[in-house]
Amino acid sequence: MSYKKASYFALAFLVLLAAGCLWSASGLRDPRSRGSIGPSYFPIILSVLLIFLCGLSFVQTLRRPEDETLTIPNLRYVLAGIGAIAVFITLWTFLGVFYPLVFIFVAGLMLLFQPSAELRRLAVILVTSLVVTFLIYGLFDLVMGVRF
Amino acid sequence: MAVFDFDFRSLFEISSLTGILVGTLVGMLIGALPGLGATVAIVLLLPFTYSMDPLASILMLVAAYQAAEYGGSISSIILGIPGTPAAAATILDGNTLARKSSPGKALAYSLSASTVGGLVGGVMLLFLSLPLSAIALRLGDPEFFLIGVLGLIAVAGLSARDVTRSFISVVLGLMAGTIGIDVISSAQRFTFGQAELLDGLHLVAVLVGIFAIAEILSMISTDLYRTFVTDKRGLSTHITFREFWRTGKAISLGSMVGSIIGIIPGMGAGASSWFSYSLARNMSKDPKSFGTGNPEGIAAPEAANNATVGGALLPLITLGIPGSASTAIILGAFIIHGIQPGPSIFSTNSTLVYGIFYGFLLACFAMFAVGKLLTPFFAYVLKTPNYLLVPIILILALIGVYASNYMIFDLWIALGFGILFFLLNKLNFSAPAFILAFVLSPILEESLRRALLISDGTYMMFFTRTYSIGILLIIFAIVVLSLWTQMKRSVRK
Repeated sequence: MSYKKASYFALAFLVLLAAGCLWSASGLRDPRSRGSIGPSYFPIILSVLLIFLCGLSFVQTLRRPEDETLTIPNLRYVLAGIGAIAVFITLWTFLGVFYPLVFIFVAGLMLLFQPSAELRRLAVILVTSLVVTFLIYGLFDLVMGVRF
Repeated sequence: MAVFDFDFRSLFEISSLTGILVGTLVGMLIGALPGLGATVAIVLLLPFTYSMDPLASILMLVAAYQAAEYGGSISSIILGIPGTPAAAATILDGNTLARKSSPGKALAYSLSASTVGGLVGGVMLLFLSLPLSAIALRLGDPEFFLIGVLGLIAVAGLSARDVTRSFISVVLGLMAGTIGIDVISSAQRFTFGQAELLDGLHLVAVLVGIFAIAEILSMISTDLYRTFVTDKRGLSTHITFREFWRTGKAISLGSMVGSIIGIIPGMGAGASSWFSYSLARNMSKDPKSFGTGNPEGIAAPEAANNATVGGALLPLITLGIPGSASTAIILGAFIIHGIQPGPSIFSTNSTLVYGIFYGFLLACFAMFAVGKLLTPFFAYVLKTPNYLLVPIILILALIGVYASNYMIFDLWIALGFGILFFLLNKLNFSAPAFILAFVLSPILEESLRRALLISDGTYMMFFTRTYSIGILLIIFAIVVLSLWTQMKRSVRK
């Protein structure tokens, strides 16, 4: 996607966000507040300011003579990383077996990200993941008393 | 309590010394890794502060901040890649000297200059904080609101990227800070019925998302298979006293410039190191030798970026207003322990404040000792492939978020902010501006609303009080400077 197009999408999203906040804030009431300085005062100012700044940025982007292509190198690895975090949090919530999940998460990502599969590298990954899991157990559970 | 009345026994307790040592080790390690700077080091350590006493926890973060600035020079000198943005100026002479003769020599110049710079910044913090807080005691809500605005305008307005989008980031940060129960009216704002949002977005979750997860996603995207080759040989950090003395002028210059620039919100270690480098070159007897491995070219920026740390802590402690993302996170640590920095902190928590000041000086010596002993090890760590490093940092970041608040919900918040800022960074939005605004949002809103309630809704009080007018003039000067820089940039284009 081009930089300009991505900018328009982002700015449109932010304007919608500001409009939502403006609508939500205008419904806030505090009977004790004097005049108009209640809980909605600051959010309303910010929402209006955000819409104004997004408009300004839109015009600046429009007037930019040059455009560039925005790329995300290694996109599938980035998505895999995000997916792995989401799966880790979900499984932790529902299964609760924290330390085995930590080992699987760390080893899984290392295996996924490794440049080429070699037996020696595989051993390094498994040993490193195991050491990291035990270090986390030692530091958080034994030293800090954090229960997962 | 006066400067010299401090009971030093509290500083030499095991918890404080451990905090300094851990902060120094982690800061130096993270600072040495290209792409991860002081902010990431502080963010990764912040969750641990919950279970520590206030002095030890803040000393750990301050030591990490200090050590990361030196750590950044390790990869600058050995690899020619800055570990932190502030260490970019060090490449010019540091990497050249490392290639020409010995990397250890270049690292020794960096370490000694960083230590002296840190000490100068610390001494300035020690002696200027009390007079500054005496002035701050005369300030009221209008002035605190304006100082907050000044910090935000400075950070966004002096941004090297897109100024308008930096201001959008500021507004977004302020808006994110309004989520939760309003402290004045107790009204629920933008909580969508979620009990987890009643206290607002959790600071650690937002910080880890923006600075750790977004950075890691960016590392996966661009640096996953980047390998660095380092050699353990020639890394012994030793220079003679004569060699150190020869860089004395550059170190003094860098230390003074760094300390002063550190106080100014939005400037930071990057600006101070480049400014010191060019000043040292202009004032040198042999300016042509800069860029060819001149030790003064290493000493000036390294002294400056470490002196900046002390300078940056000055407005945080005396006014309660941070001027950068790193100091905003340290403010978070104060808030975690129920302490509000500001002019009254000298009467309410004087032992803590002086503990921080003297501990800061101790952290400089710790940085020197750890740097002397472990620089070859940190240089060797640079060889660790990113495909091993990325999952380890990710899991530590996630665990840190959970350990700080024991809520799985915060992990989703961290992931959400991580993805959002991974994308927004590509469109030149500013993460430091967002985080500074997020931390300052409650202070700004409360002081604005209190000021307006006192003045019956009129803004005239901002223009009738002497200190307010002074701060408004500084804001005006920054806006003019920002517009001038923008115009210069567009003319150059």
